[in-house]
Amino acid sequence: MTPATKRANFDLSPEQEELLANLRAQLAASSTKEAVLRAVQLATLLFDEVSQGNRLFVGKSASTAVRLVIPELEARANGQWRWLVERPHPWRRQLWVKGRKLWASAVWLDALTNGMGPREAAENWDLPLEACEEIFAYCEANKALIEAEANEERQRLKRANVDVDARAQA
Amino acid sequence: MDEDSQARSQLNILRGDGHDVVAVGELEKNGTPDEEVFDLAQSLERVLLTHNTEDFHTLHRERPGHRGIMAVYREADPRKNMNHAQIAAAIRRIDTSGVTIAGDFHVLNHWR
Repeated sequence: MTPATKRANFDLSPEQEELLANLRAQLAASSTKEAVLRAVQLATLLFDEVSQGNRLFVGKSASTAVRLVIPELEARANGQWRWLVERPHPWRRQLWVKGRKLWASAVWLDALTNGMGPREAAENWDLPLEACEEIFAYCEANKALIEAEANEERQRLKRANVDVDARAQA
Repeated sequence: MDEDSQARSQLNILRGDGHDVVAVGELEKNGTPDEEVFDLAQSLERVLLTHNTEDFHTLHRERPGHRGIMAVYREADPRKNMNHAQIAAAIRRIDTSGVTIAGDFHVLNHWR
């Protein structure tokens, strides 16, 4: 008896087709289908590891390895963040730093605006490095939410006659 | 300084400019709700610096007669935001402009 199979049809842009061709070459896969399936297996493996609380590191030796943060994986895996929590707010939904009155994006945007990474942010905000790494991963994975909340704040201020884009006349 | 503004390098720059600055965290008040931070600033007779623009603008309207609020609106795009040096420069500008601080709500983005 032939196992049941299902045909998958989807459109590809030239760029996407090139990406798949590159993936197939890099994985030395015999077909595009095999390349995609092997990439799925790899992503699943990484996701399983991150789901178990393991961290991914890359480097030429254990002593020089640096942590590899893949926001998409960590955001999904860490449904329960260790350093971030929900706090009630009339309209903001992003997470806060645990024990602090500090939105995750406050630390992240402050760091990026001032050319800092997680290590400098940790020193600057008196937070553990692990907390800042988590803040960066969370914010990278939730850029759309952070942008929506910044826009919401702008609109609310506008309705209260505060134009943040105005220039001082004095 | 509100908790969302008390980055150490920001504190250092403002103190280097000669401002008498105290951060919520230095008073061991991290995690304090906005209303209490607002009251704390009044009891210490200090101008409040915050990045929580909308929430403190609401407090400004509800509780007039305060010592003054300076707020920095934060965009989602870090390239558009004011860095610590630009915030300090905006405070210098507002300081020397002669505008009234007490009782007013100032968006520092206007002074960049």
